Amino acid sequence: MRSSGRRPFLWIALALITILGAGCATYGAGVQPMLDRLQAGDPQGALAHLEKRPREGDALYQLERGMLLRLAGRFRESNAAFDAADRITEDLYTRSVSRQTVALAVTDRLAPYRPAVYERLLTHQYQARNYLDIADLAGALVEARRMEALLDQFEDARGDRSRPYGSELAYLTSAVIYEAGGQPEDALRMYRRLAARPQESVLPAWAETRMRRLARQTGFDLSHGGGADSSATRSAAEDSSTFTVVLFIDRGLVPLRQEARLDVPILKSEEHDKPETIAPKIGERIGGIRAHELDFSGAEIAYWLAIALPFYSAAPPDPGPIRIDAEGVGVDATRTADIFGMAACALEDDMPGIVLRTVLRALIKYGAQHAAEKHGGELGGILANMLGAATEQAETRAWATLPRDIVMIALDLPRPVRSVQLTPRGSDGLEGAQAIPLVFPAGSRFAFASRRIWP
Amino acid sequence: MIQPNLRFKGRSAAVLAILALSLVVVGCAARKQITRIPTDTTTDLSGRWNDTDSREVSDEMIRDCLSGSWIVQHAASTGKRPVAIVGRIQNQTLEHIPTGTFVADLERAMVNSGKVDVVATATERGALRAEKEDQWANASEDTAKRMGLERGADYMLMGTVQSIEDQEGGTKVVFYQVDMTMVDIESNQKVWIGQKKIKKEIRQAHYAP
Repeated sequence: MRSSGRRPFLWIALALITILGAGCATYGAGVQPMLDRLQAGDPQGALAHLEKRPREGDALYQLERGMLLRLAGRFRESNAAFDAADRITEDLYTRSVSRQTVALAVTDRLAPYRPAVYERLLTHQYQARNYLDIADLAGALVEARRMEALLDQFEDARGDRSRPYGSELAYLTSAVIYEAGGQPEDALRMYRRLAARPQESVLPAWAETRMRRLARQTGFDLSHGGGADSSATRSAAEDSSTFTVVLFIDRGLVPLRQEARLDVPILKSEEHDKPETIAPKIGERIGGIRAHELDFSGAEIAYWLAIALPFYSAAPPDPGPIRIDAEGVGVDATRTADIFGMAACALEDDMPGIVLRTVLRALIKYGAQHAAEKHGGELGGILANMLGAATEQAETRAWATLPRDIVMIALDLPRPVRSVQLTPRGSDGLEGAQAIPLVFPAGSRFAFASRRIWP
Repeated sequence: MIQPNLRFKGRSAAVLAILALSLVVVGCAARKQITRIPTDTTTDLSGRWNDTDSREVSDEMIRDCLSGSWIVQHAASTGKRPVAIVGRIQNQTLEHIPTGTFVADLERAMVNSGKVDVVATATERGALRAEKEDQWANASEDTAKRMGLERGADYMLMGTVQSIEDQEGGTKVVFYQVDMTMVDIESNQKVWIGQKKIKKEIRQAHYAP
């Protein structure tokens, strides 16, 4: 009787260990071959690798796919993938109780991927750039409005507006698209909203110049909250005589989330504590272990909880400015969006929730092991322990094909040009100059170009 | 060892394991079913702009435009049918709305009614002129179509699609307003204004089984 009663559990445990153990330890390890191909200049090969295991209903899959299709020059398909990611994200408002429960009990990675705020803004930023790459300004204008609507939503919801989540890039991208689309009031509103944000010097010099010019053109007085208009003497004719080139330069790859495995002790003195009492202690203990501040060498340990948490390694160095030359005009453009900074902040913001779920999960697994030991004997206990360890995976998912950072600049030129020259600066000075062809949306004095470079 | 408070029954552990396994198995299953349905069926799936909205707009605009007094007045003053051209229909919403669908419906209705003549749009004209140039280079003289005989439009159809969205929790309200205007190209006078409003409420549950 005893043996037949425990057999189903053992088989299920074995099956789960096999299935889950076959998966990669981290999301990054799984996508690394794809990223290797991408960095080797083979986005089509990277896409083929990704599509070997299609997950149409997964927002993260669609984000990666959208980026790879974009880099392969398949802009319309890329936008379809980004649209799919957006729809999936909207539908995630409805939480599946069963799936959340299983995710809580097994691993966060069984829960559907919810793109972070910065990822949602970047989705529309890349969609806008896809439309610009096919000279569809009307399509880009829709994406600019979507970015603005998301910014409204997020700014209302966020208490601390100084945390980076990609709003600067979204404001600037929307502003130049509105300008190019002949909507100066809307463009000015975006520049002003960015200028009014709490951080200092958040508005790049080129954007400030454009804001002041638009204020003059539309008759808006910037001195009320926007500072004195020091260049008010310039004529309207001068304002309208220029041709504008907007460049988006994506550099490198955003670092991947890593997994830290910790063994958190439950002391003998805590053996009889209730879960709600012991959970906060474990949370604090995790923080102490991560900071190398705790030492349990003399303590009597009842049990070690196996815990996995995501983290980012140290920030990669800033590749420095990029030199841009066209028609005798040359500028050094610096980073506009630090994607790594956004990703790190998003993880930091999520960490309290991640730790709470991890602690609860550890306690559930601990309880399950006890139950398995009791009903399945020593073998049951071992299998339950193995199952717990195999399924304990940190939430290392994040949009991996994003660049390390983005440089954006709008450059005024005296007359139209077909291309601009871009020169990334290496540690030894200038290196690898390359010409970037421009795209001209019909009926606009603006031209656009995007380029992914690998510093 | 930690005692009863943290303990689970063996059955609970098995249920959790079955749940997790079910998820993995269900995740692998993929089914697709295709059924042809009438094109006038109302299908609201995501709450976004869809074919039903486009059809409602074209039905309303066609009815209103073709029964407008501007056609009769033009005929009375010139003795001819008015000639219209489709101009810019601006999408100012948060969605990629293919305005071409209802504009094409309206064009078709105008032409088929016999009350209004419609000439090619600016984009279409480019292709037609290229074809005429090609004919002059390659077609026989008696079949090549002449340049400079295009019929000029009397009126231009212009329009905007705007939307207002409001959301609180799982409830979202989207209001679309489509405005179309027929403008006398010579005098800039607006001779017909059509409007269609659509309001949708999209409710999404916060939790599902």
